Amino acid sequence: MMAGAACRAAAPVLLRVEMPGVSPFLAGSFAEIIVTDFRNGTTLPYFDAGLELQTYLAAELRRAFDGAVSLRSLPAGPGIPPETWREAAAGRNRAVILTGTVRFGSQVRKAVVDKRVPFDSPFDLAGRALIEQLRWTLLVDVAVISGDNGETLYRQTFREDRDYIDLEKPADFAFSDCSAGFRERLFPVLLGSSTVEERTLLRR
Amino acid sequence: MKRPLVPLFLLFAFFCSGACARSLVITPLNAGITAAGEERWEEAIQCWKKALEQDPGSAAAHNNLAVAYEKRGAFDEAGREYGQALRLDPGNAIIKGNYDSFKARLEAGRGRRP
Repeated sequence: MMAGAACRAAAPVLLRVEMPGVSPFLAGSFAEIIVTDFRNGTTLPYFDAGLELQTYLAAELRRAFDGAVSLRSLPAGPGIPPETWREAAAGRNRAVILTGTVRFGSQVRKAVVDKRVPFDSPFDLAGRALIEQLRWTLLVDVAVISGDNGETLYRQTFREDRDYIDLEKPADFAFSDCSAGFRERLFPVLLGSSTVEERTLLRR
Repeated sequence: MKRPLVPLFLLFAFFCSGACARSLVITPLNAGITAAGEERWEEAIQCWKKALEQDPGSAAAHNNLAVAYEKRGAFDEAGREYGQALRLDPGNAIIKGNYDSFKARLEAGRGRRP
């Protein structure tokens, strides 16, 4: 029994381990993400969607990404050449830049629906009702840029819509909902998805 | 006739347990495994680094460190530790199995079109 117990204690240990995602972007994993403010294509005077998105993404990346996350202002001008991006990441070790353009706006959508309207009336109403909803739309044109050579590694446009019965739904509430959906779709692309893997540890 | 067999059996069991006895001692290697089993991976890394200070030729410590670095997302370091483990114990099927799974996962992740 002693022999059995002693020898069993020397056996390898099989574990199921949740491993973090593997980013598809670089041959070596990147160690830093620089998040710029996004170029704002919206005309909402009281809401800077570009700055809000930068703040939100940086906070969420700090939670999800083990490396460094830093903020930087977007260089001025429409087309930004690679050398500008290289300078923005100068002195940083294996950095990528997360940037792009954002548009955020709303519209009221109306529809006539066939449904029984519970009115107490002598008239036999056909039961057609007009419904209105406020749709907020977030459009983000995202680019991931290599800090080493300034080249674009990835570019994609994401769209998130949210419909609200409350026609007065404020922009910041809707932006919070839309950006959460955007995050759910961007992060697996940027950081990879975690998986549960089997690995064996050795005692000797 | 049976009487001499009992002490012989006890002697045999004693030698067998002695052969495996060092695994019952709390070594840094085992302490790291206990920590890893309880999801205390940073502590496990420290234990296995200490194991390597005591025995730089320990393929087991390199293997276990590689798994811990994988868990941390430090894939370059994990690759280096797996390489060291395989150099020290090239015939070890467990180390090779871990390394093959690590490599396949890395290639699947980095090869896909984002």
